[in-house]
Amino acid sequence: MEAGTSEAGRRLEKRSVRTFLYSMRIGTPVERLHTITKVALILVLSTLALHMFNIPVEEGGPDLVGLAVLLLIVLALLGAARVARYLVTSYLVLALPVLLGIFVWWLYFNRGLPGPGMQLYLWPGYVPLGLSTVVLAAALAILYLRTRSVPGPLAAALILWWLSLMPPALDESPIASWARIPFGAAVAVDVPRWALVVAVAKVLGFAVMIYSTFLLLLTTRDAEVAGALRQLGVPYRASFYASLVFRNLDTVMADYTNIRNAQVARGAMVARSGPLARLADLARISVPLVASMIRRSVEMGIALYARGFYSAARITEYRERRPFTYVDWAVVALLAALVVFDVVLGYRFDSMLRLAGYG
Amino acid sequence: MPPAVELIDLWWRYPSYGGEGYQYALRGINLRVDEGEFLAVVGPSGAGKSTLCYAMVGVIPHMFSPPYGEEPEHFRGEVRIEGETLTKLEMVEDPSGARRPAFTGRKYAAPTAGLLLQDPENQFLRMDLLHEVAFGAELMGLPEDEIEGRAREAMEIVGLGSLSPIAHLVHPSELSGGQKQRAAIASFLAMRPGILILDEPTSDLDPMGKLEVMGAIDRLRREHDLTIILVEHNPEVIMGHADRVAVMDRGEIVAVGDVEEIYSDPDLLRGHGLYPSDVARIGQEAGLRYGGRIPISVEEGLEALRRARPDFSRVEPDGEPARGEPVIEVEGVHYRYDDGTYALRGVDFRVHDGEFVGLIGQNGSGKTTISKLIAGIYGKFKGDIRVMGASLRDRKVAERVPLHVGYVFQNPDHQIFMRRVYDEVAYGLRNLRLPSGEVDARVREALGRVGLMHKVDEDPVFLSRGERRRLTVASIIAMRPRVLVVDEPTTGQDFRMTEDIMSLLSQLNREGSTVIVITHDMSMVAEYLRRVIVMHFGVVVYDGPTRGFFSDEGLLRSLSINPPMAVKLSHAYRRSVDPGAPALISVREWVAALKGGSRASPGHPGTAARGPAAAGGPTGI
Repeated sequence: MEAGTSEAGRRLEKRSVRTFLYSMRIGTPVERLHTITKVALILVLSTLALHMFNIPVEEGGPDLVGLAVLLLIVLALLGAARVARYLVTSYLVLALPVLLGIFVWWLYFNRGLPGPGMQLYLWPGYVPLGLSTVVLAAALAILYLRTRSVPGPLAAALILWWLSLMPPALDESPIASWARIPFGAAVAVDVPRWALVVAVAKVLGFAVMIYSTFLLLLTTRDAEVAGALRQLGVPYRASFYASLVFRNLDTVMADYTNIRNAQVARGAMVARSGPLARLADLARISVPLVASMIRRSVEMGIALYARGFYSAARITEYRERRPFTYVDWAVVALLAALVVFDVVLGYRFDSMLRLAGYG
Repeated sequence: MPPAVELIDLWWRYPSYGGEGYQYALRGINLRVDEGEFLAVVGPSGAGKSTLCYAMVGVIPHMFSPPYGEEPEHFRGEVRIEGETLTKLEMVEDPSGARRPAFTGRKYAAPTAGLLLQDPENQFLRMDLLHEVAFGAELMGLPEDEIEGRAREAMEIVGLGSLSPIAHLVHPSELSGGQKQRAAIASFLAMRPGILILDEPTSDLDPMGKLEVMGAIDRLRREHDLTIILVEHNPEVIMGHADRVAVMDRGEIVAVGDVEEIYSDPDLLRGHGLYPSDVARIGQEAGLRYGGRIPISVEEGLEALRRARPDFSRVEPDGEPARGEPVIEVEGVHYRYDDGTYALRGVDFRVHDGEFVGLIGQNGSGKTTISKLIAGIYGKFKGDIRVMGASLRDRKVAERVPLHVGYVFQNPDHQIFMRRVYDEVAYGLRNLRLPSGEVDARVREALGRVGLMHKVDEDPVFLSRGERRRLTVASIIAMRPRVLVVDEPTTGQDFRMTEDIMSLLSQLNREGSTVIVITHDMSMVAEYLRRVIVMHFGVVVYDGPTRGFFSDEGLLRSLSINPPMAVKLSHAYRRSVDPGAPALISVREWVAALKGGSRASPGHPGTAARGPAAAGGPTGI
């Protein structure tokens, strides 16, 4: 791709710097975060999330408020690094189906929970005219205006609409529902009330894990990883290899785009083929992609050899280690506080906001 | 003083894992490169040039190491650098007292010698310029202050000094091809080597990048007295820089000599699939002499021309350009990448049915972007593009545009994804949902056109690079597009492969296809294309006859375009011999003017075109 190549030389003021995935703004507090802090953040938040969504019903059930707090911390950090838009434009789209799958799975395949049950509609037996329909139409219009495409937005809007019809109570207020047009027969399933709480908790928890990992990939560079591993006592060559793997994410992505473009140039979009044909196309990309990765790795091996990587006896670390700053200590203090609050003292975030009926 | 590099009866065969094993890639190479010398290595694809470079730094046999105990079947001879053995296979005693073959010598050429590879992307090992340049010095274990000093100095030497203050923030993808290669050179300079080995360092670069890199190499030679070994195709580059030339073919060095000696023998070069210079071809075919031999450079050609009497009336004037129906109309097109870079800032042009057009300009000028928009690969742009009258602003039209505009990508390896030659060509046809009888007929016709019918059941992996290139063209022409866009058809290809692909495109054009070629190869533009569209920073700066473009010295200079030698000869002739002479742009035209006989017409390569068949002996004037 030719984007922005020749102008780099003349632009001496840089506002952003490339990271493993995309780039981040220079000068934000998150840019100064040490890699060890970021890894600790992933580990601590993921462990806390695991703990919070696995609390058994007998002990009060998952801590929804706590999970929401964790997710907000991650989203706030992504926002502070000015990288949140990359999530919205690409990874949110990939992560949403995963999170939706987790939600449906835990809702319907978690029947053994104690407590009262509730009915969820797979189809309520009518088409409601009300708030949900307005939301559906608005979502469709916005998505269409942004993408100029019908099938994708329609599918997304219908899924959201369907989800909004599932709880029987939501559509009953006079504001939410003006009229109902009978359509087909109602299909409902009985699920334990707790299953809904657990499903929401799982979605929040996995979102914390996924997005905190993205925070690392979106705000870290190779030298930082190599330096951090050195500070932890990992041998130079091992830490260099580890950083090299991440350094190549962008070349793999560029190769993928090139190969996919070659398929498009040969009518891959003309065929308007189904998901199976698309999967087959995706599988076909893997052949040239893997071949290209092998070729690149052989050439990188040659480049390493030519620089004396394999013969070096004593290696100097040059501008790789970075100090722990006040920002790191602030994040570490926050993580420690969360651990003390949740694990050591055993408090729950929702103890004050316990939802009526679930306590 | 010992030679910088010495190869003594060197044989090498790559290890294979299964099958019959490979042929020897190097066959009894004897070569001596003196300290401070600039040696060029030339040869067709597969001659063993890269393998030779690898052997000079120890990558061979130490990275592609032969199986234990089988070393003598893969490696023989010795490699020495600066008088010291780098690699030698000797019988040594192992701890048990038995004698067995083993490699001896220092094994690594670093930091004495550095090796620059063709693809600038794959040798960038770090994520920022500063760490990249400093990396070699880090591996030498130098103190931090010295690393810093050497890295900054190396960047200065290769002309990247202006990036030095932000070098720790500059990612390789933000550098141009020329800058990347100069960064790679700097990364070795920081190690202060005595020898720099460069394996086709400019063949992936645009004209500006080529100039930058060769300028940096010149400076190293002049100010730092480095020994340079350069693998290169372009005769002009070699003649302008090298002291000696080694010609390789099929793993052997078939000739070594001074630049004048090798390049004044076009038959030798052609016999090994190599380019003679434009001037040497003119000299040979029109019988020009300079100091008792064929002239090879522009200056020598000019001297020889002073004694000849070119008759420019023999050169056929440009006919009216083909002006059928417009098949592509581009109007006020703006395009911005996701990262905010403006790629196009208001592009306008039209391409008519049956034209053979060149799209040229430096990297980043927007030529690939506009081509991908025309082919429906990129979407969402400002302005309008119409293909056969239908606007691509309509999403449905844009999706179906690959039926009308076929795009052949630069790298064949990125566009072959089926496991059988037949299926590769059938892939697009099946996407069009054609009946199987029609698919079969079209696949066979397309493969017949590119001469690959006998490989119909092969796995594309086993085709040569030239064959893979032809396969990619076949898979597009099978879809019978009205317009064919071909991205860099000749990059990294040797003389024979270039001939091959360009005569195929010319033939398709004669049969009615409209062909747009994106290229940096100015010789090819001059020989084959009548019209060029020149782009610069996202706008069209010239759109007209190729002759007009090459006649305008000021424009060429302002765009940093290095014209073919035939054009330079014409400029020189008009400057110092006959200001009234018309601008000639190709070898064919010069031969026609000097020799008479067949009248040459630009855009239609006739029998006097480059190629072994066209090589007539010197006739004398």
